[in-house]
Amino acid sequence: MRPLTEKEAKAVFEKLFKFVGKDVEAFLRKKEKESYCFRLQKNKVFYIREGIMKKSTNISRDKLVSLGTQIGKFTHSGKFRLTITSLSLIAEHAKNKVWLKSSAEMSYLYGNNVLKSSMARITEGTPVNAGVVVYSMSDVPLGFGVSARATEDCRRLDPHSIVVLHQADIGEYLRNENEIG
Amino acid sequence: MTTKARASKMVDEAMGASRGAGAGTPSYDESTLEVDEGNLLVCDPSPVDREAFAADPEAKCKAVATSMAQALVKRLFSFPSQPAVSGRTVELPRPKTLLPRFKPIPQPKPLTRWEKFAKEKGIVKRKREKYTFDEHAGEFKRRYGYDRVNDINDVAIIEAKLTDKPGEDPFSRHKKDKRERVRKQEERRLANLKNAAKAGGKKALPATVSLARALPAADDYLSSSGPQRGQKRATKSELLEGAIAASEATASMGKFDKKSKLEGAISKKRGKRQQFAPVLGKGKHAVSAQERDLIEETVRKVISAGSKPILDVGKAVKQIDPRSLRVRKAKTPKKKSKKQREREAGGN
Repeated sequence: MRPLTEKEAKAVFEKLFKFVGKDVEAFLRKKEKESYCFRLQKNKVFYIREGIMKKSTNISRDKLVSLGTQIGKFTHSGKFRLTITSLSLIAEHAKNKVWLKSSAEMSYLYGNNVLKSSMARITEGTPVNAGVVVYSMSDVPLGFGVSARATEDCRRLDPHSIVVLHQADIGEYLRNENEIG
Repeated sequence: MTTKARASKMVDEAMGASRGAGAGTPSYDESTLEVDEGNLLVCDPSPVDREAFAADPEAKCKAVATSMAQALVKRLFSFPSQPAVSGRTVELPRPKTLLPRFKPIPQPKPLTRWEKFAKEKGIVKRKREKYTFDEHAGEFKRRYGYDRVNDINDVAIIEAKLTDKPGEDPFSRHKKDKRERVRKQEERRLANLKNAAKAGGKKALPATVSLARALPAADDYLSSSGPQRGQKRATKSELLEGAIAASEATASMGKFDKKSKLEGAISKKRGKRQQFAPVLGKGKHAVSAQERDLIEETVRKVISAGSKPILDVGKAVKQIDPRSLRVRKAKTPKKKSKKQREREAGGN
């Protein structure tokens, strides 16, 4: 377990910025009088309360599996990917949102992209290639992805074209139970 | 070993020589000559006539040689001869004179492990026919090698055995086994060479085993086919270091020599050591000030880099009311009233 280097921190915050925008600052602020920090352990990035982090230094690096909330992980080539465990944090400050029709929820939770036909609503002014959080109609965050079309283009699209490219969904908790730390 | 000499040619030469040297020379006493027909060699052990040699050494030598050659030819003609395309041929008897050998007698080859074992047990190699009958193909085929008997490549189906492991491909198992056998034999071959070198030095090794290799390891020179399994290949830097060491191997150990150009080739750059901020801050602080600064600075940078386009074009376009963009028609001048025209005319 160690703090992020400058390069790593840049990769992490750039990714978060895509979803959250200027609200990335919120991750540095205190939450309910508790301050949080970012830690790297075996290529995984965790968002963790400082008090717990301090205590976890007692556990040796090879034995430490997980701590706090995992935000994402670095790939072997050094890219940063958000994992589904970061959903609650992103959803709190999400800038661009998409709401799914209740009929399309299951399809999305099996790892499929969001089609125009399955989309109920979308945040106004969502650009292309922006990070998008996917919600159900009852405002439960289901996952996140990347917008394939801007909001303006969505109106003219045919119902089978992809609007949001799937990155993660809460179905992974069941599908990839072993890998989620 | 018997040698066949072309008798007719010999006779011709001998006759020519005798004619040139003068026919009047007294014939030699052949009984004193030692003739070795097998080597076509004639020796005269009788003492030399000093006076005759002193008078005309050249003529005397020729005379003696002629008569000796004649004696040899005479003997050759006494042997039974056979007709050949060009004249007749004679089968020579075994040579009597022993000639010294040019090359040293080869050392006995050191026995391989198997040969040693076979000798101890009295196992004799038995010769087997090269070709055997192949029942599948119905013809004779080679025992080993290409197009061999019971070639696995010719078998379409292999019958399952009780000992077979389920899920294992028998063809690939055959292939794997073969590869393993080849590898083991190579290992044995090298081990035998190693033992031979240990017992009899480098001379005991066959000439085909390459001894010249860059930077050989302790017993590396035995492997002619490059590094073996588990053996490290010399890296580029190791080779360079070796080359530099060799270039400096002078009497002064490179003290008075020009610096080798190779030295520049080795980069002394080392990998950058990563520096991480401390995991914990000092005293009560859980997070170090260094880390806090770094994170805050990074977030600031990311935000300023990400929010560069201050003008959101999409939004801006929507702000404009399309009605306000309607192009106004140019005003056509109104027709002037009578009064106006009159006033203008009056003014002029």
